[in-house]
Amino acid sequence: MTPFGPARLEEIRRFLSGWERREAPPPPGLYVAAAGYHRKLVEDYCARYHLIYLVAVYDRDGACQDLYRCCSSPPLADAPSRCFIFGDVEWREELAEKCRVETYLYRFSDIRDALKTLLEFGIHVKGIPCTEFNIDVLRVTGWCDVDPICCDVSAVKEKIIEATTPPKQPQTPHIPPDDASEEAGDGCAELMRRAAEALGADVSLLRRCLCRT
Amino acid sequence: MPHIDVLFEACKKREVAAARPRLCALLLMYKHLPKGGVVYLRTTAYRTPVQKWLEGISGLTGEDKRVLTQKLMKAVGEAVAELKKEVGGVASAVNLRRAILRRLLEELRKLA
Repeated sequence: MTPFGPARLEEIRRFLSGWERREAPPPPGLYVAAAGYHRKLVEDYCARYHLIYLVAVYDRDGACQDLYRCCSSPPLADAPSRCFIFGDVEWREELAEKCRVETYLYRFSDIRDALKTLLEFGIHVKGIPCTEFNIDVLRVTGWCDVDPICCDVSAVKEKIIEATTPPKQPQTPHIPPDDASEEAGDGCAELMRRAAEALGADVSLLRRCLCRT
Repeated sequence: MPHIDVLFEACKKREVAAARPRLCALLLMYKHLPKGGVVYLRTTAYRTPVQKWLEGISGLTGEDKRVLTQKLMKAVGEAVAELKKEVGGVASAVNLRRAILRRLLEELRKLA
């Protein structure tokens, strides 16, 4: 239940221009975001504000005459519902006595557009965190690609842990036996011999010292 | 929020709690939200939950616990001050949950 300031109300008006407005409770449909219910909170809210519901009507073939009534008809084969609803509170009959309610309806021929519009209203206009939306809605609209945090935080978890784990000590390089470097033929053995002579040190001891790091 | 427990588990590592006190403090505050009703936003309300949480982290010395409590309570205090500005000192659990979630998501986006 996010109260609206005047700036927000203006934004809502702009967003909803072109939508069909009804002073009626929302028709049957599928809620796209968590819409909890707390009686006291709703009463307080209704004392000051109207309840607003956005209903995206999925009408692929343009067959719906009355958008509101269409929500009661059986869903199309490719959708779980005819109507998708965004509202702060799931509608209940008891609210009719206490709250003034406005329902805004809009026809969509594409289900993705319908859900995306509701998502944009919820996130950008109402300021609802994306994680409050149904995960299937986030997936279908492609929101998970836009903002992966909304859908899965496991990658972040790995990063958090990685960043705080002390780096592993580099492994001590394998010291090849004297014969191996002789065989390598890269001039290393010869260089070692010369260095040992110049320093007056034992070759194998010098090799061990140089390879310690 | 999906996977919130996954993140909360990560905060049970001492290094993570020390390096990301704000993230862990927000997670703790989120975990302690009631389902409904109103919440009196006070920093002191989170002291016991923070201490209990640190008791669950193995291998902490008394000094470690003191330092971590201080860090986390500082982060809680900052978050509470911000949230008070946004939702008021007595906030509905619904509004507070949303406000905490917004901050949590911001924090996670920084890390992603």
